[in-house]
Order: sequence, then structure tokens, then C-alpha cells
Amino acid sequence: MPIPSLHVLILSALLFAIGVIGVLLRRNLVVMFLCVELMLNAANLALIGFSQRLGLLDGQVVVFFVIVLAAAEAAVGLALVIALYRSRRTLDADQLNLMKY
Amino acid sequence: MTVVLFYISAFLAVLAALNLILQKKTMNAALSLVVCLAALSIIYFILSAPFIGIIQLVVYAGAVMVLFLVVIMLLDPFSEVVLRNHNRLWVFFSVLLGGGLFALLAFAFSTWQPPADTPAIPAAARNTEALAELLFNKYLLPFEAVSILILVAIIGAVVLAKKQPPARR
Repeated sequence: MPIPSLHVLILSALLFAIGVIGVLLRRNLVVMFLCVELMLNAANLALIGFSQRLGLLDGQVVVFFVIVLAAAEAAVGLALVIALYRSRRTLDADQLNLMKY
Repeated sequence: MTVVLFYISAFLAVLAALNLILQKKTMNAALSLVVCLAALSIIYFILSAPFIGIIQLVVYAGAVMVLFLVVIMLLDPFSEVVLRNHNRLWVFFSVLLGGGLFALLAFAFSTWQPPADTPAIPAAARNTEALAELLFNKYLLPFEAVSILILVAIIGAVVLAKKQPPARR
């Protein structure tokens, strides 16, 4: 008995919404970053679900590229976090308001 | 059997995601994301994408999350990070926005009508082979471009995380 594709897509939407709420609620830069990773994974899940329902492997190739990009993005983003922490001594996103005024 | 496994994994993934945004300690949040990624990997196996499932475990739950954990341990392991509890309006509108987004996405997905006759996806034993054929023929140019992008990302990460010489501060 196959999994209904709607349930897979609903799960992906739920994970994406949780990621959005996390980015909005949390103030720690690293945790905001983790929530962005969660949103990327929710999009991956939607791609896999569509790929399985439509019988096309192209969706899985796109997921492969997304995973590679996420690895590169994590490396650069964490390097930015380290550089920020080194100069400002904080990970609080609310205190990083140098460009606000 | 696989259906039951799917629902258990889905429940686990949602629970881990909720734990990720509600957890006080950064380290615990990162570890609960690892649980979420592993649950998603099981779902990929069920949805006839075994290669992506393995990649998810090795690259994401393995390499990327180790990078996150190292950075968390390097910076401040015991930092207490609280929610924006001081501003209840902000919390309310954030949750409202997230719920609205979920409702919108769920509505869009439920109105989607898939075509009636779809070709069967290659069986699990042939999945990696078919994926490689697609990757090295149709998607050869993006594949090479991604390798350059990774090189740029490595150099960028090294340059950004390097200690600045004191004279230039």
C-alpha cells in the first residue's frame, strides 16, 4: 500500500512552518541557522514526494544539488558566525544592529 | 508495515523540529535537528529514494551537523538562549504567520491534481544507477558548476574565519 503523497506534502509544509516560526522566535544566530536548515529539509521532502508521485527522478537530482548547496552554505555561514563572534563577542541577533541606524 | 514506519518517522520528525525551536540550550537544539534529519532519511528510503537517504545521513546528519556542533562547542556551550518572551505580541504574530503559511501550503498541496497515468519510478535496486545516468548526462553542467561553488565556499570559509591581523582592525 503506497503512502498517500498528500501526507508527505503536508508533513513538508508543517516542517517548513516550524522552521519559519523558529527563525522568527529565536535570537541566537546558530539556532536561527539550524531553523534555516530545517526549512531546506522540508523543501527537500516536498521534492522527493513530488518525484515519487510523478515518477520522475529529476526531483531527486535537485535534492542532491540542494544538499550540496546546504553543505557549502553551512560552511560559509558558520565562518561568518565565528567572525562575528570574534569581533562582537555575542551571538544575539538583536545586538547585531550596526546597520540599523 | 512501511506505512506504519512512515507515520512513526513523520511524528518523530515533527516532534524533533518542535524540540529544536523550543529548546533552551543551543547544543540540544542541534542534536534534535540530527534526530529530525535521521527521521527524514527513513522517509526518503520509504519514498523510493535510497541514494538520497544515504546522502542525507552521511553528508547532512554526519558532516554538516558535526560542523555545527564544533562551532557551538567553540563559541559558547552554556549560553542560555530564551524565546522572545518579553514581547508577547511578537510571539503571537510569529506563530500566526507560521500557521498561516502552513494553511496556505496545505491548501495548495491538497488542491493539486496529479496526472492520472504516471510512469513507475525505477526500483530501489536501480535507483542509484538511474540517478547517476541523469546526473552525468542531463545535469552535467550544473554538476560541474556545483564543484566550482564548493571550491569558492571552502576558500570563503577559510578567509572569513581566519584571524584578522591586529594592524587592520
